[in-house]
Amino acid sequence: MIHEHKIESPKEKQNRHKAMEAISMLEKLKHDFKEPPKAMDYFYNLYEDVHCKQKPLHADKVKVGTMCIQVPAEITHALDAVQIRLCNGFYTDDEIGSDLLPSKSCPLVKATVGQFASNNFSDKPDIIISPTTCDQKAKSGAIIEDMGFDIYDMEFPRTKESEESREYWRRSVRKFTKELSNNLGKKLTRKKLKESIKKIGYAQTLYHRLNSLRKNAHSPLLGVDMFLVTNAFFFDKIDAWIPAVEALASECEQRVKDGTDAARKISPRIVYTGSPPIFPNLKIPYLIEQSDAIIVADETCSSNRMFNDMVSVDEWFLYDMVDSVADRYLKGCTCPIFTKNDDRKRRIIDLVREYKADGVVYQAFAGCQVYEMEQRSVLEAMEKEGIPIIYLESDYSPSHLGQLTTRIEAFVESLKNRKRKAK
Amino acid sequence: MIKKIKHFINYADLRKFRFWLQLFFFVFFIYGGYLAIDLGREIPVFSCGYNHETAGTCYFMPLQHQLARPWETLFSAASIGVLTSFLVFLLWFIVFNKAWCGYACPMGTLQDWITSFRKFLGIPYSTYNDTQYKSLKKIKYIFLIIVIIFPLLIGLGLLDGEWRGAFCDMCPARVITPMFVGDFSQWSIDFSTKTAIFLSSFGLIFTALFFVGSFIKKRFFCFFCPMSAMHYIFSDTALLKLKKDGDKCTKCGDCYNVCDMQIKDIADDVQSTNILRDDCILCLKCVAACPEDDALHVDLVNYPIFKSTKGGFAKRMEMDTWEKKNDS
Amino acid sequence: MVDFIKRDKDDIYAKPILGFLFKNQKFIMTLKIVVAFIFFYAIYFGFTHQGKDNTFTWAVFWGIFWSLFMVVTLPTLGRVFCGICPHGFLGKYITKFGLKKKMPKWMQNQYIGVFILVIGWWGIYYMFPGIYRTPFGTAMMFLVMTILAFIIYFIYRDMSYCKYICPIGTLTRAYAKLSFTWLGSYKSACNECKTFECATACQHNLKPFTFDGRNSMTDCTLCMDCSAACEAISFKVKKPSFSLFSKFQILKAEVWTFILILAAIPISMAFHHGLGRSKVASDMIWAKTAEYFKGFIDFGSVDAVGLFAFLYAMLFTIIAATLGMYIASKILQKDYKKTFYDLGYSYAPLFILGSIAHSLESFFTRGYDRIIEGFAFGFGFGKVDIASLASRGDKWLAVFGILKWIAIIWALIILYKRMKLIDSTKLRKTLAFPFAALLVIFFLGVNSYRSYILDTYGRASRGTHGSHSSHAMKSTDSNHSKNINILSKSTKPLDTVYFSDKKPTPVSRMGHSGAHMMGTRDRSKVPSKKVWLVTDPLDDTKCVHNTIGKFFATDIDNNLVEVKLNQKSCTSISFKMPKSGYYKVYYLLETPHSINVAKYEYKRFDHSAEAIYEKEKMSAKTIQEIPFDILQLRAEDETFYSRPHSGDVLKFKVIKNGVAQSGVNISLTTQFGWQKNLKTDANGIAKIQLIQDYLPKWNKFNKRFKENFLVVATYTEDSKKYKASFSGIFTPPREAYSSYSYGFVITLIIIILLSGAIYLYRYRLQKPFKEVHFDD
Repeated sequence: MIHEHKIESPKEKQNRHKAMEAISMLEKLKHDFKEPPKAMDYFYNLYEDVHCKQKPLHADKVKVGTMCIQVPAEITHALDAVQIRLCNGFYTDDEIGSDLLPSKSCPLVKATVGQFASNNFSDKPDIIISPTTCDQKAKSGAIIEDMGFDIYDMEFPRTKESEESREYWRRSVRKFTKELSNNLGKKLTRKKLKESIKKIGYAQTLYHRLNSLRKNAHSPLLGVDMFLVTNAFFFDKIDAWIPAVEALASECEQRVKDGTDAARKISPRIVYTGSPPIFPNLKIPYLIEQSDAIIVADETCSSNRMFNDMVSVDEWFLYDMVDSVADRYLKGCTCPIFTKNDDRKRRIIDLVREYKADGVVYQAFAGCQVYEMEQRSVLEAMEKEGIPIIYLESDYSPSHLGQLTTRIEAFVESLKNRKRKAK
Repeated sequence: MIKKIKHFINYADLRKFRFWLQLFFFVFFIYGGYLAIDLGREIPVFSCGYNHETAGTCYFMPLQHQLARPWETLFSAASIGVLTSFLVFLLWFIVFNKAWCGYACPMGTLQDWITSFRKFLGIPYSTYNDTQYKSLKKIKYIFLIIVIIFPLLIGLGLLDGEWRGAFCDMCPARVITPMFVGDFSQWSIDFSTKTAIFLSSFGLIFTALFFVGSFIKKRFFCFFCPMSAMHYIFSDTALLKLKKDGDKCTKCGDCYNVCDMQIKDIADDVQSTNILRDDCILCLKCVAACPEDDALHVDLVNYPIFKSTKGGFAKRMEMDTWEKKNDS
Repeated sequence: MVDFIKRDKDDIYAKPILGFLFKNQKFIMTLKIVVAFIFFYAIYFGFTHQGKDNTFTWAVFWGIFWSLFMVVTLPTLGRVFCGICPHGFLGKYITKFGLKKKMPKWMQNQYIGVFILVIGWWGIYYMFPGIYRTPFGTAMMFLVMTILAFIIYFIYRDMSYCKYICPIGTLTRAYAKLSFTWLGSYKSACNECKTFECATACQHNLKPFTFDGRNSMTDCTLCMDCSAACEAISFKVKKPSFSLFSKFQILKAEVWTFILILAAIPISMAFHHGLGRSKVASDMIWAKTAEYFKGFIDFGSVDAVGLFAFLYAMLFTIIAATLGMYIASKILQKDYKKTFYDLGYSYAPLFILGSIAHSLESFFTRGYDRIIEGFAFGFGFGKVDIASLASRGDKWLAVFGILKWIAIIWALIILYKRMKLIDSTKLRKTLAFPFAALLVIFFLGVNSYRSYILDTYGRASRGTHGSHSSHAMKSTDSNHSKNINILSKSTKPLDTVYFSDKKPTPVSRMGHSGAHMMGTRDRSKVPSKKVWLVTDPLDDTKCVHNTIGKFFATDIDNNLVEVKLNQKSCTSISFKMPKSGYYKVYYLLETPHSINVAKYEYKRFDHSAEAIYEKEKMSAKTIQEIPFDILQLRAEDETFYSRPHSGDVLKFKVIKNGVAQSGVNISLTTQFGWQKNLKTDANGIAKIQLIQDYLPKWNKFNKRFKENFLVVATYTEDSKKYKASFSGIFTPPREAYSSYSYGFVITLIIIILLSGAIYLYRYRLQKPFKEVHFDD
């Protein structure tokens, strides 16, 4: 066979690297565990399409990119735009970003900035919303703007207890709504926003439906698969995502009835918290579940935090709806960027109890300062409650896996011992 | 079976239930007299006695009259009468707690209807900001003092007998509720004495405030209602309780958003289990609007009768189904 | 021991004036010396001046110390009385040089003191009233107690007299639990302490540093010796009776103190002095028992009624306490004794607050002047005459009545809090609560019964008990002596006579005016109405006396009832009105040629709303005994609430011998002289519209003004003359004083203004934020 040699452009090279990263993770997920639910195929194919084949999903729509989860998707959708979350999990992009940011920065931020630097998108965002959440994200917004992207800084308060912060954030969201509406040349109407809230609400309900199945003693779904499902919400068409999850939920419900367990009976149940695992950086969840544990719940912004809090509206007027939507993104948020964060500890403890978990894995990206700083207080709180917890630090690099594996395996083994003793 | 009933209640459409119950109580208290219903004079809501067809009279009317007796009578034999009235009031109150406000009070119901009318017109409501909220909420205690202390001062001889029903004279319920049975005689200024001019003018000013206020602010008057303050004093003894499991709360603020009384604690306080606050009208909208399982629940003698559920929330907010529309 | 401590805000020692009073040792010492001096001087004075003129001894012991100072300070500041007690003050020095023996076990019993107080003092008091009240008796008793105290102090150590023998030792210890002060210590300092100066300084052998932990100050008398020894001692302001809200070591004698004192003082007093002074005193069980035993035993100088009242009070109180607690313990499924002593602490406020009320009232009415006079006499200023601060019957003294209610509520609160400490289900606790509160309910019942009896039957005229000063002037109506200036006359058969509910010719009245029929009526009594038979014009009525006519009265069902007729100088008639409805009174004077009738109809209603809208019951009826009668027909929409107003059309129907009579002359006269004459129509009915002739200046206007009218019907038939009168009242109409147009305009203006303001406010909100304003 004669190969036609073509010189690979840098973009193509990047895409090849990213595709390799993606496909190797997908293959691992597909084959290293017990048989996943059939409905998961949609998601495997989706990731393959987007990350390996660079297939655009929203060619005909205005795309609003977001740097963090605090941008209200309800409003974007109500303005007939698509919201795409730009948080990135590729080591390839991380390496590009390393040249632009300090070496001790968070890999997620580096990867995000790296992607902009290479300007390599399957769905290129038309406008980028940057909420001023953590320092690194806020500053990287400015760096991206210098690269010639259209950035809108959305002010976000860093305390949430005070009444002022609520009012501040509501104003910020109202302003964002108005500006985005002007920018896109679309008028926000009651009907559209109501529909959009209900659509997102339905997606959340679906997530809760699926998630509550994991409370069963035999969880029908692996944590890594769940991360894939929620990750897909970052960029997928909502109208496609919803039926896919519906199918998955139905299948999982059947699995629960049949008693199919995604792991083993003895497998310790884990609550995962900390920096968000974003495809293809599912390294730590993968290691945990490889070590014969199962993630039954998580407290991360790539999954639970994105779906958990729902919006309720008393009177379906724009004022009321926008304000209600705003509250969801501030008051319920357990992100460590806030000055104090008792809510996060309460949430983790509640998850452990509700999902009958045996232990907690706290993972922070090296360089993700807020998660690193909050680690101690969370560990103390868990200790007080008698919940075993392990703190891990990781980055996007594929090396140094050995040490992490050993620590995770030891932790899982100790949980198993506890479980046996408890019997 | 019990599970089914529980499921039915927890997934019920509270709004409809409440609407019909409120309508029933409104008709009951305003027109009950036509059916010769008389529940006595210790009703813990503004079912005003100036409406001669009422099915039971607001406790404040007899209370003010009872307390206005000369002290030597008040603190001897007459105290039995005061005490029995009070106990009857307490008995009424203890069972339903502040749900009297949210479900039975004709004035509360009227405000809800005015709110519906505004909604129909498409005018958004107003809210108080934090400072206004904190300073205004004290007013109801001032009214309560008027209800209790003024009559006592009359009994002591320090205040003229004209002030006997000072609060009733100022209360908008006196002007409004008789209207529903065709009695407009309270829409007048009483020129017989200076006190009467003052009090009856105030009554009409508050009536005007009531209409404008409740049009623009949900449950405007309840915020100043001395009955609400009185309820709160005894709410710890009540059998029906609004409880919160702080561990389950994510502070998402859904309950606060739907709260007519702008009670922040319902969302922000994760320490208290008994979350009933002095402004609360126990309308239970918060429980219906809570998307967390069991985070908020209504207990009758420690037995939860209505709980917040994820499913119930989704059903009520119409987020449990979604039809794909072919518009894109 | 520490020399300095950062004091909390609620520490009395850290407060400016109070800190000085309680912390300054020199001041406390001076105070103690002064008190001891007065104490011994008063005893000495009691022996030297045994006559009644010695008011000084009384003033010191019964005017100040007991009970005023003690009961007022106990539930507030705590045992400060003990802190300045001369026995304790001198006892400390006596003990220091004494034998320091350990008190034998049998004497280490708090009940000794309690029984001395309850039996030895109160029992004797009821049996021999007045024995301790003479200066000599008082001085003797205190001298004996002092000598006894000093002997015990000398023999035994650790101030055992205060703890076990002192009659008020256990009492003060128990009631001080209600106070809002607390002697404790700062934990931060005490944790590191190894020397325990506070404990060594305490003559009572107590350990102040453990008070906080034990939640009990045990026998502490607040002598403040410990606070002089160490700075870490605190004296804090807390919630009243806060220590009763959580657990501490129970002292059984304390609970019994509450019960026995309650029986011996307020309950016995209510029996003996309250009920015992009513007109039905002889019907009370203790009076009857005493009467019964008098047949067998000669009581001599013993007040048998007092003795039995005391014994019954003891019996009832103890039964109420034990029975209630027994049932409660069964419901709670707990040990009876544990329940009894745990919950018994809730009885604490019952006696003491009522006592404060009594003491303060006595202080204002007669204590204050007697104390001043007594001290002036004792220190040689001779006789002075001081006016008392208030006189009995002053209205504002009723303020103290509120304390009794506070006591009951407080007791229930303590019971509720102590109930919480018991480990049982909520349902059981709820059920047990009323039983555990049986003594409280009993106390409430005795008080209510007492006022009920006194209000219904009245107080007996004085004489049986001499010690109380005269009662408040209550009745005004039955004073015959005041009738002297009433003009009265006898009438001829056909003079116009009618009934009036106002007493003819003004008499100075005390208390409330009779016009407030409804407001001031005592609920427990059957309401009654009194009317006078009068003659002459409406604005200047005159009595009729010695009339030979007959009187009839009917109840709401038109049946004849008995009436009380008072013919003395002024003819009046009273009738009872047990239910809501129309009551009628007739006067009939029949001669062969004339019939003269006077009629009065009174509509009594209360808010109970029974039978209000029964047309049949309400309709006007006549009775067959009356040959010529005027009926006031009811208006179409008349209820028991209705009253005739000016402008209303009144309908009168004349009935002669049971049938309607046409052509009768009717005249209606109002109080201000307006008159209308007409004849009855074919149905015997005359319609008259009332005029408005009450037209005062607007600021003098009284919307409840009751104007009298009088209807007289005359008719002649076969030279027999018939005459009937009917009197009534009417009031100004609503329209006379209320304005709809103003009301409407005010409401409208405010609605418009408010709406505008809200619109503007909302409009303004759309503008960007305003900068903050600095007041420079």
